[in-house]
Amino acid sequence: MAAPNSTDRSPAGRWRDIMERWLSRRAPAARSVGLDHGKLFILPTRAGMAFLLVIALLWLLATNYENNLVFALTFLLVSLFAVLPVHTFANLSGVQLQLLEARPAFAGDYAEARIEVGREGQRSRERIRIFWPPEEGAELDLCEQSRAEVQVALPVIKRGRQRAPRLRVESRFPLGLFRCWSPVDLDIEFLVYPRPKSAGPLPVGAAVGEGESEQKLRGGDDFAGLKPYRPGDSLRHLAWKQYAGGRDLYSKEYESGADARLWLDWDLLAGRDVETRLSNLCHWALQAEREQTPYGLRLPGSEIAPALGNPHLQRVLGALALFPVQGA
Amino acid sequence: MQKLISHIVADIGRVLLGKEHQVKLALACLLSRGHLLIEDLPGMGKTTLAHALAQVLGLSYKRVQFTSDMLPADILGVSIFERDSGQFRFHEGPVFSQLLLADEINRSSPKTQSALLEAMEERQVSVDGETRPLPEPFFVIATQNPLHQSGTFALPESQLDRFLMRIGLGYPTREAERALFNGVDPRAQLRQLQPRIDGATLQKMQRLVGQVKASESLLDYVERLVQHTRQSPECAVGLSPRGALALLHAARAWALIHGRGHLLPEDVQAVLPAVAGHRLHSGSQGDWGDGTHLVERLMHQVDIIAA
Amino acid sequence: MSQSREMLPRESLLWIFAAQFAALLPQFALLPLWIVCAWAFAVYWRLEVYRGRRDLPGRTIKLLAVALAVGGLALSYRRWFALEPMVALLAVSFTLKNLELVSRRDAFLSLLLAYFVAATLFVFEQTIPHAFYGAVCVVLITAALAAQQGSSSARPRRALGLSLRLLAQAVPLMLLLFIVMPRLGPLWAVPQNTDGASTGISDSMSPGDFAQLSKSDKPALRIAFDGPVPPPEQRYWRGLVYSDFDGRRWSQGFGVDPREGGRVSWGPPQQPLPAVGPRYRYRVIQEPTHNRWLFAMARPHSDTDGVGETPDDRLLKKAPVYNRFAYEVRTWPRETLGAVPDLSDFERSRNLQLPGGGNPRTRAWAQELRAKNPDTEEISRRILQFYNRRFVYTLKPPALGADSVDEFLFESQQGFCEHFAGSYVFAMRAAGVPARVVAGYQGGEWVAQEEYLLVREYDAHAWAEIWIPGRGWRRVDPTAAVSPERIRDGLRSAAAEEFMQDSLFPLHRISVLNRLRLQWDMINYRWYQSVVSFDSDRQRGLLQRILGEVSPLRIALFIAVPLGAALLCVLSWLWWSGCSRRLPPASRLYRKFCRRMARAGIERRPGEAPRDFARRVRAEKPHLGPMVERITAAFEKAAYCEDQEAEKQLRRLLRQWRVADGWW
Repeated sequence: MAAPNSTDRSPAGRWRDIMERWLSRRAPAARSVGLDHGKLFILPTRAGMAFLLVIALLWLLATNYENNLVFALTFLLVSLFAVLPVHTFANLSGVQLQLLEARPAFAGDYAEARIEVGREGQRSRERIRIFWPPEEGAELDLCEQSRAEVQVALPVIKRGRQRAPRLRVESRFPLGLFRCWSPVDLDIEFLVYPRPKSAGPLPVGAAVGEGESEQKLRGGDDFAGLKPYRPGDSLRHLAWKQYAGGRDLYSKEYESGADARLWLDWDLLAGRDVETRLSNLCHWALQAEREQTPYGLRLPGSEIAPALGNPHLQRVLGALALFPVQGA
Repeated sequence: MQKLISHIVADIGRVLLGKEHQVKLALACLLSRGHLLIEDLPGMGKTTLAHALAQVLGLSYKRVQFTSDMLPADILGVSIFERDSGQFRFHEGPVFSQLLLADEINRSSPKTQSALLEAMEERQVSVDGETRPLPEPFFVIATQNPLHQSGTFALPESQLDRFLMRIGLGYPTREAERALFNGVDPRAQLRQLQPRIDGATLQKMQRLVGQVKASESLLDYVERLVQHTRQSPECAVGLSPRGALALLHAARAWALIHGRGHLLPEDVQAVLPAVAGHRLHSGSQGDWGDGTHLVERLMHQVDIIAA
Repeated sequence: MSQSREMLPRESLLWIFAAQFAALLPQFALLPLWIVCAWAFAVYWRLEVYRGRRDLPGRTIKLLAVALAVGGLALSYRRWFALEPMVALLAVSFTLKNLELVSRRDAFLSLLLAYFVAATLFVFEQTIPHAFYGAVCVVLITAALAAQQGSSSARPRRALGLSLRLLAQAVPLMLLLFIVMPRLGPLWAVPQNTDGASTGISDSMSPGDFAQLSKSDKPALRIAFDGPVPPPEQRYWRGLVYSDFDGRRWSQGFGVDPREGGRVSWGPPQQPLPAVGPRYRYRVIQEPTHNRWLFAMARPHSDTDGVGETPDDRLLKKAPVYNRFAYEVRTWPRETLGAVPDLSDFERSRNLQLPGGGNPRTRAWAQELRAKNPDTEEISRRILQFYNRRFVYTLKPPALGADSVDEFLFESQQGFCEHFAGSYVFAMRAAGVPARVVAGYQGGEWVAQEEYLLVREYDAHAWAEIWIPGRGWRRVDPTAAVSPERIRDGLRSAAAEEFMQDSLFPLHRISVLNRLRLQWDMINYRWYQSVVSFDSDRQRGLLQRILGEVSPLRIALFIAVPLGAALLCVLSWLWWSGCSRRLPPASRLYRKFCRRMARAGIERRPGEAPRDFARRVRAEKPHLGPMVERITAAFEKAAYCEDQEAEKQLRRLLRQWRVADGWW
C-alpha cells in the first residue's frame, strides 16, 4: 500500500490524500493489473474541446443559412464525438500490465521499470502511453503481437529504496480528442544506488585483507587443473597434450595466490559526510569492477568479501544504497 | 486401485528413502507410457529406483551399462547363423524386456543412442529387414551423468524430446541418510520386494490414465501455460505440441496416482518441471541444464485461473 | 502537455496538407487566384522547412504576410459583409497557419479549421456531387486527425480505414439527430452568396434574349402537384410582366419592382380570394436565379414564408433566390374569380403606353383594325389570323432595324416568341386595347411516372395579356397561332431542326441519354425534397408520420430508445471482446473470492494453485481456514470436475461469507 505522507495539511494536500486513498481502494497496488471500467477514467482533451467549439460554430452556420447539408455535417461531427469515447475506452479496457523488473539505478539518474503489456481478446490496441506524469514514458501498439515489453523511466534523486508513484497508462486513440487513462500502481520499488562521485584513484593496498579470508582467485599463474573446454576460453590455455591423446578438449585452469584484493573501506573516507562517503565508495566499486580488480566493501556493521562480477557489484551497490540515512 | 498404487509407492519408498515425489513421477511416467530420463550424479540411487520399479510392477528387467565402444547390435540383438539348423537365428538384445535400464546413456556413441531411442519411439526393432515388436508394456529408464562430466556425448535435443520426463534424484534427506548410516541396506530391501501387480494390470492402469477428466478450465490453464513458454522472452524455444500433449498425459497419470478422476492444476504443476525441463532452455547459455529452474519461474508467472 | 510541443513528423504534415487541399479545392474556383498561390507557396515553404533547407518565417515575415493578405482581401472584395470575403478570410487564415505549423496543437487547430472550410462549400452548393465531395473531405480530414496519433496510424490505408469506420459508426446517430434536432431559423442576418450572374429570365426583354435562353437545358423549375394537374396548354408559369416599351426593349417599367415602391402584399392576400377551393395546388422548387421573382400560374397565392404577391398576379420573394428555393402555391384560374374591378386610370395608361414615334405601319394597321372591329376580341383574332397565315416560327430570325415591329410584321415575318408577343402587344396597344407582355416558362417535361414537371431554361417563353372590360386580363399566346406544337409539345418538337444546334453534341436526340438525364434529375429532385429543403415543417410532418403524434414524450422515446439500444450493444461488445473473456462462472466466483482475500491482506500469487493458497491462508489467518478450505474444495469440484452442484455451493458459500464478513 502506498503510504501518503499525511503531514501535508494544506487543502490541496488533504485532497490528494483523499484521492490517493480512494484510488488505492479502487486500484490497489499489484504487480499485475488488468484495466477495466473500474479503473479507467475518460475525458475530452483540449483538442476535443476545440472540436466541440467547431461543432458549435458549424451549428451557427447551419442555422443562420438554414443549410441542411451543414446541419448534416454538424450532426455527423456530433455523432463522431459521441462514438469516439467508446473507441478510446475500448482501446485501454482489457489491457494488462505486469511488472517484470524494476532495475536499480544511481541517484540523479533514471530508474527503469520493465513492464509487460498484454491484452485480452484479439482486439488490437494502439498508441498506449505508459509514463510517470511529467515524464515522456513509452508508447506502444499491440496489433499483431498480443503482448509487448516496454521500459519506463523515472528520475530518482534519493538513495535507498524508492517507491515509484502511480504510473499513468493513457491513450488518445483514435483521434486524440479523448483521453482515457488509468493511474496504475504496479507496486514498483526501485533500489537507488548512491550517485557515484570520484574520490581519487582506487585505494589499492590501503587496507589489506586478513589472512583468514584469503581465497584463491582465478586467472593467476599456478596450474590448478583441467576443465572441459567451453567456447570463449583462451586458446593459449587449451590442454593440447590431452587433446592429442584422444580425449576431448580441455582448458587448463590457473589460479593466483597473490592477494590483489581491494577493500573499499568506510573508514578510508573519514571526515566527509555520509552521503559523500557512500558516493565515493560507489564510484570506487564501479571503477574496480571496470578494471577487473577484486574488491570488497567494509561499512560500519557490515562487510562484503572481495570478489568480482556483476552479482557481486550488485551486492556491493545494494549495501551502499540501503545504508541507513543519517539522522533517521 | 488407489490402495494398490499407494502400496507400490510405499514399497519402492522403502528402498529409496525420502524420494516419494520422484518415485511418483517415475510411476506417472510409466503409467502414461512414456520413458524416463534420470539425470544425476553417480551413486544417488538411479539404478535402485529402476530395479525397484521393475520388481514391484512384476516386469521383466534388463540393465545395460552404456559405454563408448558399444554398438547398436549390443542393444537390439543380432542374427547369428546356426550350424545345426542352417538358418539365421535372431538373438534378442536387452531391449526385448519390459523395463530396460539404460545406464549412463550419454557415455555411448550417438549411433548407439539413436538405435535405442528409435526403438523407444516406435516400440519395435528392425534388424536385417525384419520388424520385431517389443514386449508390452515397454519402459525405458535411462540415466545420464550431468553433462559437464568428462567423456560424455550429450543427447541432442530431438532425442531428449523422446523422454516423457527428466528427473533428478538429488541428495537424500537428512533422515534418509541417517537411516542408511544405521545400516538399512537398500539392496537387501530390494531383494525382499514382491511384485504387487503384473504386466496385464499395468496395461489396464495405463488405459485408466486416459480416462482422467480434464475440464475446460484446466485445458485453458494448460493452454495458457504452453503459450507462455512460447511467448516469454526468457524462453528461447517454447513447448512443442508433443511436449504439451506429454504434459497433459503425465498430469493425468499424476492425478490417477493421487486417486482422482479429474485433473487439478496442481497435477500439471507437479509434473511440469519434469516434463518441460528438458524441452525448454533460456537460450542465453545454450545450456540445457537450467531448464527446470526456468520452468519453475515460468510456472509462477501464469495465473491458474483465467483472468 | 509535453506531447504537444514535439515537432510534427513528415506524415503528419502531408496528411494536413492533403486535408487542406481537399477542403480548399472547390473553393479555388471561387477564390481570387492569389489566395490559391499563397496557399501553395505556404505549403512549399513548410515542406522546405521540414527538409531543413529553410527556417520557419520569423515574426516580421509573418506580420508582413498578414498585412499582405489583409490588403489583398481589401483589394479583391469591395464589400466586406458578404459570404465570399468571409470564406476568403478563412482560406487566408488557413494558409497563414501553415507558416507556423509546428506543434501537434497547431496541427489539430489546422484540421479543425479544415472541417469548417469544408462546410462553407455547402453554403455555396448543395447538389449531390458537392455533398459527396464534402463527405470525402470529412473522411480525409478525420483520417488526417487519426494520422496525428503516430507513425503507425499514419499509414494511408490504416488512417483512411479508421476514419471510414468511425464515421460509418457515427452515421446512424447523425441521421437521428438530423431528423429530430429542431431547426431554429436564422438567429441573425448573414451575408449571402451574392456572387454569380443572374440566370434565366431577366427583368427586360430585347430581341434575341429568349433565343439565347433556348440554348440552355439547365433545369429551372421542378413542380410537383398535389391533386389535379393542369393540361399542357394551361401550363404558363408567369414570372415577369413587361409593360414598358422603348421601341426596342420591353421592361417592367417604373414602380413595379418593390425596390422602386412597387406594391407587394406579404402574408394574407389583399385581393379577396374566392371561397371555392383553388384549382391547383403545387410546390415549386426553383433553381437559384439571383433574382427575386418566382414563377406560378395566374392567379397565385403562397403561404410560404418570405413570398409575397404583386397586383399583377405574380409571386415575389423578399430576398433574391441565391439557393434553391421551394415554395407552395395555390392557383385560382382567373375565370373562376368573381367580379373584376375596373382598370385604374394609371394601369390603363401604363398598359397603353407606346413610344412617341416609330413603327408607323403597324400603328396604321392597328388603327385600321380598330376602326373595322369595335370588339376587342375580334381585333385580337384578326391579328392572330394574320400571324397564322404567313409567319414562320424560327429560333434564328433575321436581324431587325430601328422600326423593329414594322420590319417583323411586314417584312421578315420570321421570329420567336418574343417577336410574336412584342409585336402583338404593340399592335393591340396601337389599337387602343390595354395589353402587356408576360415572361416566364411554358410547358415542362414529366419525369418518371409523372411525379413532377421538370421545366428547363429552354422552356422560357413570352406571351401577352390583354384587358377585356368586364372580364379582366386574358392570356393570349401569339406563338400558339403560328406554332401550336410549341405550346403543346414544347420547343423541342416545334423547332426540332434548330433546337440546340450550337451545343457540342446533340445529346438530346439520343433517347437513352435523355432518359438517363431525366433519371438523374429525378434523383436530384428527391435529394432536394428530402434533404436540402428539410425544414421545420417537413420535420414536423416526418415526425408525425413516424411517431403518429409529435409530443415531447414520444420524441424523447424516439431518441432514447435507439440510443439506449446502441449503448447496450456497445457495452456488450466491450464486455465480450475485452473486459472479460467468457470466464466460466466458477473461475469468476473464485476470482471474487481472491479479491476479497486480497482486501483481507492475503493475495494469491498468479501461479499459486487454489490448494496451496488455502494452505497459506490457513497458516497466516487460521480463523479463515475452514471457510477458505470449503470454498477451495467447492471451486475445485466446480471448475475441474465440472460439477454443477458444486458451483451452486460455491456461490452459496461466497454469499454466506459476505454476510459473515460484515461483522468481522
